[in-house]
Amino acid sequence: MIYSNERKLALSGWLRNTAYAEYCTSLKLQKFLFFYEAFSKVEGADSDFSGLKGWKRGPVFSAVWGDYTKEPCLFAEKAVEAYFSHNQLVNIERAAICKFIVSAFNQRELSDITHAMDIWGRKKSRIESGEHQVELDESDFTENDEGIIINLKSAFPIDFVRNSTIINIDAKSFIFHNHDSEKLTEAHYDALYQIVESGTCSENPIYVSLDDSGVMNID
Amino acid sequence: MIREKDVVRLRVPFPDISSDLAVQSHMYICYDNTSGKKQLVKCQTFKLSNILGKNAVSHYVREVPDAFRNPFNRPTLIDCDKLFSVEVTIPVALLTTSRRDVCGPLFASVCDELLADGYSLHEIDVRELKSINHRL
Repeated sequence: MIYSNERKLALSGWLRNTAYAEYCTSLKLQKFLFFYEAFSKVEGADSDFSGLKGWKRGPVFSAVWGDYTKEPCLFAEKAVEAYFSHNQLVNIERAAICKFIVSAFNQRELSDITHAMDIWGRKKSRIESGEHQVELDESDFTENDEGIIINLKSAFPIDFVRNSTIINIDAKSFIFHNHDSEKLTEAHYDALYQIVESGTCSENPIYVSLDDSGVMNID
Repeated sequence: MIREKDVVRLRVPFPDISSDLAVQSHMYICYDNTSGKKQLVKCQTFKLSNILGKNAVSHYVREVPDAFRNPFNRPTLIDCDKLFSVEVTIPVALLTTSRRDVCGPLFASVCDELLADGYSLHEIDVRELKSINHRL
């Protein structure tokens, strides 16, 4: 039996279809769903925070978590079905931006973002004391939270998202323009691996452009 | 020759990597070009800490890309806690291409933030700069 609602199923189905690696990481799926609802709220569109619970790594839609972990095959089947039957439930631009965000940051960073939001933060002491299934309230989504979402929207506008490719190496995310990513060679990837291993990278995301001589200029 | 308000892109090598296919690259706004040494203000693309409002710098100016104001193509944090000093002629070939400078009001904001509580001065290694920025 699947307990997730159609909206969450459709969104999960969209993510599975477009970013399988992110879908296969439970935390990233949860962050994607959460950011989608947060963006919806800030944009004045319908949002759905029902069933949102607080856990140590951030907000979790508990019905989705239960279905995804206990009935993974059935959940996947229902999610894809819901996306194709009810694709009007998914605002593609908003979903694309949220997908980009969960790809551009590692799991710890994504948790840092949600930890900084009052919708989770106001229940922090209960969550960190070990209490389970702490319900999170949409009424705790404050101006601070709106500010964080606006900053994310500002950092990742849709045109930028559409024209960018993310290359993840360990916990680092390198963002290239699509045209540049197509020109990368094995030698470029070797250089990126060296940079990650040297520990000299700045925090995510790391913006890279190729100059005329094929050198990666890393911001 | 570059002048006040101009924006240049300078590159420095990555420490400890053998590949020459990757360099660190930042935009810098020319703050002062009168004393023989250029004083530059560093621009950094928005990072996670900026998104969370936890800026590591106390004084800064945030800018989104705007062709009427700046040459940035990504949301940018201008770090007004530091000035970078370099004694080298920076050719116009290193100017940013979409526009060469920041607008007057933006430059005024940067100056205000620099002067608010003072700033630290950092020297850029000219040899390092010249090794990678062949136009210098």
